[in-house]
Amino acid sequence: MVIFRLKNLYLSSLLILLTSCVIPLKYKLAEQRKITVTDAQPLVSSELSMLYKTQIFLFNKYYTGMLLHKQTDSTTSHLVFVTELGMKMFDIEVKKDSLKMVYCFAPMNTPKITTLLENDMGLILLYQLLNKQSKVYLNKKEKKKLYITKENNRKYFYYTQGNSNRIEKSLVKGKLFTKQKTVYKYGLDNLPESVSLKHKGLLRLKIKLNRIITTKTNE
Amino acid sequence: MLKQKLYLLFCIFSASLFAQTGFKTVKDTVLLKEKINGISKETNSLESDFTQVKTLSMLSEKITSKGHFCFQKVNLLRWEYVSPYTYIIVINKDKVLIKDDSKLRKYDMNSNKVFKEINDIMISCIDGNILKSNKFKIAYGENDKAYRLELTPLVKGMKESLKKIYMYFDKAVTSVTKLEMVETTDDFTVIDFTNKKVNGNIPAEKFILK
Repeated sequence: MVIFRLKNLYLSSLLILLTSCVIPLKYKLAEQRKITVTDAQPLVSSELSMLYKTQIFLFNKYYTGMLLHKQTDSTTSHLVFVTELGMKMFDIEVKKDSLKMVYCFAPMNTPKITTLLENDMGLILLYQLLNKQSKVYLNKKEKKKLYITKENNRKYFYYTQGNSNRIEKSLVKGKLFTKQKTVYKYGLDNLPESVSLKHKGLLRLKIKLNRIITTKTNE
Repeated sequence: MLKQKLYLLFCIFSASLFAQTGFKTVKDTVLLKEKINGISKETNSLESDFTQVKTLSMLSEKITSKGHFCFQKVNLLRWEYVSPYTYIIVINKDKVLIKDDSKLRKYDMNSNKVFKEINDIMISCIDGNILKSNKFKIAYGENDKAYRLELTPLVKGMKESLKKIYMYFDKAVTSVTKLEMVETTDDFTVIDFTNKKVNGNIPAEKFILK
């Protein structure tokens, strides 16, 4: 029984190892170039404030509230997470090339957590794709595109929704395993209606965003 | 053009001066303290609607939430948000219950410092016990319509997040009408309580979530 289990474990590990770094067969390399907003639509609007109902599972803690994205000038925007009771938990300044935690509520304010949140919010906002050199793969049958970028021993896979420039899924793969998975669903206005991010492995983090259609009171 | 600018500056200056001096210092603080202590003794339950407006100063953005609030002595609290989405938080003694998307989550109050601190502040503001707290320096103000207590946090851990808490009472000092929490970043949250019912009968089920 133990030997059978061990065999199964080896086989499944091998399978994960083989599949984790592989580009899906349906996709063929078409070109290599810099990705712009015409290839991949940015997930936030520079004209609209966007409000998301937010759930964050961080290590053993669970936080809920609202995440607001707002452009403050032509090059800067902010991502602010506020609990239902009105307490601001964090404020991330978003620039063209960087994200910086400018405020984090004391109990959460550790380098490990702030770096993790900065990285993951960057991932959600397609920081490792936009304006980066990427291999472009095509799935002719399903008319889909796959963009792959590389940074710090990690590969970032971005799948488009059909032939559009909307990203429907992204995966971050390390040398052996998939580390993060993000799934996007879009509304009628082409902006994301929901986003879910999940870390695999030791860093236990899940982020779920569901867009709140802003009413006059929230404008 | 210059005149217009000067006039505008004058208006802004006058408005800010009025805002600062809208409340003058209360002369008889002993009497006011007695009245607030009276609330603490006499209020066994409180129920009201509320409107909460979070102002993110740097972003010039407001987030408005609405809902219903219940408080029952001792240490039972229910915040039921109905807008912009449904969310219920119940504090039942040392348990925190949250209902969100029809999912129920339970926490031990002592395991979460953030919840404990927010809960302590909220309950002591509502039942008036905050006057007995040594965690704040308190200044008493009044104008024609209201009394205002200005609470400045003194303890480490709270000072880093909260700059001031303002509590507003009607002139008859029957209950808290408004609560304003100013964070160190100058963002602030204002909670207005309306349609208040003091010492009404609140069913025990309100403080149990299933």
